[in-house]
Amino acid sequence: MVQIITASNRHLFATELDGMHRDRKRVFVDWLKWKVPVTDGVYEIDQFDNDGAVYVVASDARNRKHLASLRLLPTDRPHLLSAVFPQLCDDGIPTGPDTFELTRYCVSPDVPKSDAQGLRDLIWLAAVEYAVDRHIRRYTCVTHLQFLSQILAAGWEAEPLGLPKDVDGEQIGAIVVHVGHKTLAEVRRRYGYRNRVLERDPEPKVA
Amino acid sequence: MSIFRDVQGFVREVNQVATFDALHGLLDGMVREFGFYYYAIGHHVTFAKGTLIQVSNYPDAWIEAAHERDFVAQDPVLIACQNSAAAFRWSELAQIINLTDDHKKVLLGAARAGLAEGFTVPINVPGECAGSCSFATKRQRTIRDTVLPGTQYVGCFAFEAARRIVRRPGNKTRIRDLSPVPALTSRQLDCVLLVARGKSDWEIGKLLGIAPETAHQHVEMAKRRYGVPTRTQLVVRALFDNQLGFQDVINR
Repeated sequence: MVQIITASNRHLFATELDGMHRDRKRVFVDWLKWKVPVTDGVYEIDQFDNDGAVYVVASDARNRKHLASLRLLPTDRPHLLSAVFPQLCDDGIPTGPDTFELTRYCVSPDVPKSDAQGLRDLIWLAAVEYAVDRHIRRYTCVTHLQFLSQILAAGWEAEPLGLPKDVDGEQIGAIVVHVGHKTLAEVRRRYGYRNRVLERDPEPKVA
Repeated sequence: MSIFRDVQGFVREVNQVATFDALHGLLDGMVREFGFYYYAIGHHVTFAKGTLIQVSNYPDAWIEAAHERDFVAQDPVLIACQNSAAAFRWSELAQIINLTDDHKKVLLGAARAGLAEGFTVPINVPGECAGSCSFATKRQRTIRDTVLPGTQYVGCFAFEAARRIVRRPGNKTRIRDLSPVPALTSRQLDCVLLVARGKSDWEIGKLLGIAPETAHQHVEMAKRRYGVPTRTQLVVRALFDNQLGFQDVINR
């Protein structure tokens, strides 16, 4: 099951979000050694986990355990690119109501390797469906260079926003991904999905 | 700023390429802008498993030697890719792996074949075998530091373009099904046939009444159209696709 979790419905998903922040800590802090804040020794939560954040979360329908997720941030307020990594854009930071930043893509370490790819496909596909539902045309993304090929392999049309730069000894770059109906068709075809994976948008966009 | 513009332009074009030919064309231009000459983009698989992608303009002699001697198992660059997720210069290899004498032999061979200084971007797509993009300068030219960040993007986006070209909708796993039969010109076919019969570029030139360099180019273009790195694989593919007949090759 893949859900969209926002400020207005997050009270229904406390279990999933708890699992997500725990797994984010295990992946980003314990494994990838990112220098990001840890709360209560078990949760990875930062200043962008706020009212504006939208979470795309895949969870086990039986026990609501977090399986995979990513976080989308509106770009008309401070986000990673604008507030933390502006130097990664050589041409100005893309912002606007049709532009969200895609961050904290995470697959739970408890997921067996054989299931990981399927979950990755599911989450990416859900993010594209969400974009089409909400008339989002661009996702920006800050990534370590070593993950870039993975992102490109997902099947969307990506472009760099600047040259990669060294941050704390790692090469990091900002890219923008164009999303729309064509992307949706392409991603569905690549992953072999015919039908919608997201539940109907709980907050349909008012024109 | 202009390095970024170059990369941005390259990415926009490479996102649209539909053939290996076109990908080679873009890469030839781009790597030279950055002071490189040679490039090799592909998956790391031994010959036994078959090759998914190999897009390269490495000198013939080097690729033939590497494949014959299964250099893939001894190539320090490919081994270093297992230890380093980050891109590296070949001059830094000793810091990434334990560089043995065999490894040094491979590097020496590469240098003798014309690959001077090199830079490699490891590529790891989950669910696929490991790959990489390598770029090398020719002869005495040194690598310009300033181009390295941009080169990483050239590699990643070119690799994805190759993955996209080699796939077709509704494909299964046979490599044969993954790419369309490249149309070779009749001149290219003439040359491939003679390669299949064991002729050198010089002999091909004499038999067809063309310069050996021209014969070489025809064979190179045919290899590019098939997206294969060696003449041996070119012959095998052309036979498999029935662009060459066994009768033509053997009855001589």
